[in-house]
Amino acid sequence: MKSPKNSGVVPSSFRDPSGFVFWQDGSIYRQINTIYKEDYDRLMDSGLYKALVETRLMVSHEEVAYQGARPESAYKLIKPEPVPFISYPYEWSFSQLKDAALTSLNIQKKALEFGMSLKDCSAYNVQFVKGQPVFIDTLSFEKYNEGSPWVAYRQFCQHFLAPLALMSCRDVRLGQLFRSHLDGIPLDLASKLLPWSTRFSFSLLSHIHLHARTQTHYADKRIDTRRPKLSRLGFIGIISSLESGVKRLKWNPGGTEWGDYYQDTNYSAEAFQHKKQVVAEFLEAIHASNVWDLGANTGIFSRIASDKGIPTISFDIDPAAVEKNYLECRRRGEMNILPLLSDLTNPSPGIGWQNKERMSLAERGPADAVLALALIHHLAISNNTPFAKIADFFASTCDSLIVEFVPKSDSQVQRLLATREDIFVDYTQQAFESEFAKLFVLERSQPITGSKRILYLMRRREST
Amino acid sequence: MKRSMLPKTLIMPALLYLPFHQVLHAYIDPGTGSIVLQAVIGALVGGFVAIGLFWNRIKAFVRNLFSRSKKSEEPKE
Repeated sequence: MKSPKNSGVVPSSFRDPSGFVFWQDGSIYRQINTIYKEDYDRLMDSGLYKALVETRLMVSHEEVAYQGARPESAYKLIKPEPVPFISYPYEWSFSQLKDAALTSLNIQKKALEFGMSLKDCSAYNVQFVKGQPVFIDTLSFEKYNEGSPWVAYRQFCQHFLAPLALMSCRDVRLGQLFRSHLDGIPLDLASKLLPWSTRFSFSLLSHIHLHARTQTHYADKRIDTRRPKLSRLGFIGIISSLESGVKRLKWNPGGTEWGDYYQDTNYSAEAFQHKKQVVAEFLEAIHASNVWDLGANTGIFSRIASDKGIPTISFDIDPAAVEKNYLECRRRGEMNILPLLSDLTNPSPGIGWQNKERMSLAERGPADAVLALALIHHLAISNNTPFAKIADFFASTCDSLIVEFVPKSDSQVQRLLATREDIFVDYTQQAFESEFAKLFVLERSQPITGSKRILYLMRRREST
Repeated sequence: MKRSMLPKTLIMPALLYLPFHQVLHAYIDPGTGSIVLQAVIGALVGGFVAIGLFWNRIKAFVRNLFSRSKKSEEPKE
């Protein structure tokens, strides 16, 4: 996937005085400032960097000759291993956030072994690379001083433990609070929303409920904030307690919106097989360098692309479908597929400072190719979106499009129309083709055997 | 509500009298309450970690003792 910029400082990289990330000539670099010299050298010389990279807990990097940015404050310049697609915690399923949490704690435990500690523990510092959560912020380590508390403790609780507890114990959709709370879910809010029974869990009682209370209690108090004594054993104990608390949180994705979709459609086994075959043929014709599967459900069709070695992002609106998709990736050890949660009718916006800290979904595109299978009727009928607007969206999202038209006579469309008045007089194959033909060249079309649906292969017109 | 009174009355006075020594340097605000809480929770769970270590040592010691006595029972060639 292309970067929205190929030069300039990354907008999310302004808080940490230790350094910053910037694009130059299409590559990403991280400047390490002189202020961070001692900690960077400790990270590299202590063996911690090597240990983290060898266990795939952190991205690797190479030191490069200085090329620019802000030389007055520079100590070194590093070129980190590229992350193909940046995703955010509000786009992750429950187990993705849980795995990211456990990765962060593993890193903290490893750092302690080498006399260092994480100075921040943001969920945004973890990205999924080749199917696994990997830490990307090389400048998050500092020297561990015996007796110091963990400065990132509050952040870990807000970014990981609170959302996971809410998703597990209350409702999985509460993970979306991340969108409105950039620095994780405030603990007083989490404490209010969690069921009372969570006070019987030691980790949730201490790290969320009591944590929220002490925060409120000390919020307006001036005390000597020179650190309280926290022994090394206490430090390790807190990490272990957080780890066991996270491990104990579970969420069962049963009862999904689309969970039984494939059993419930009017597809025969023959039609389903034919659809897979046509999608595979169209993908072969495209030679896509990456694919976004929009409305991917549990990723059955995404895997046609990813199994060919094409990096594929598998988006769906249903947290249960994304969870099942991710668990399948983990089970199969897949490296080319990334399941993400996305509501296409309200995709991730740009958030944070100047709306630029976290990119919108559109900024992270366009994709080389998009799969839009069994999706058009949801956008056109459930969301009342005219074909012209749908075509415009796809034209801004991809170069090549494999799209399925589902006619009104299809049982799934009939189901959508069962509870609403049929005001969709323009919902016809002819109208679909003529609107899409304004922005795309309709290269191939193929009716799916044993169904009323048609698959199209389209290429965006050069002028659009 | 009454249910919320007990932990506060027990824990808050304990939190207020903790010793403090050194200035923290971090670009994110760790939060005073979070620091204080860590000292309390840390003292508690640190105890468990110490017990865990202690038990591991005991187990290792017993195992060592057992294997030594077993070795000494083995007939010499």
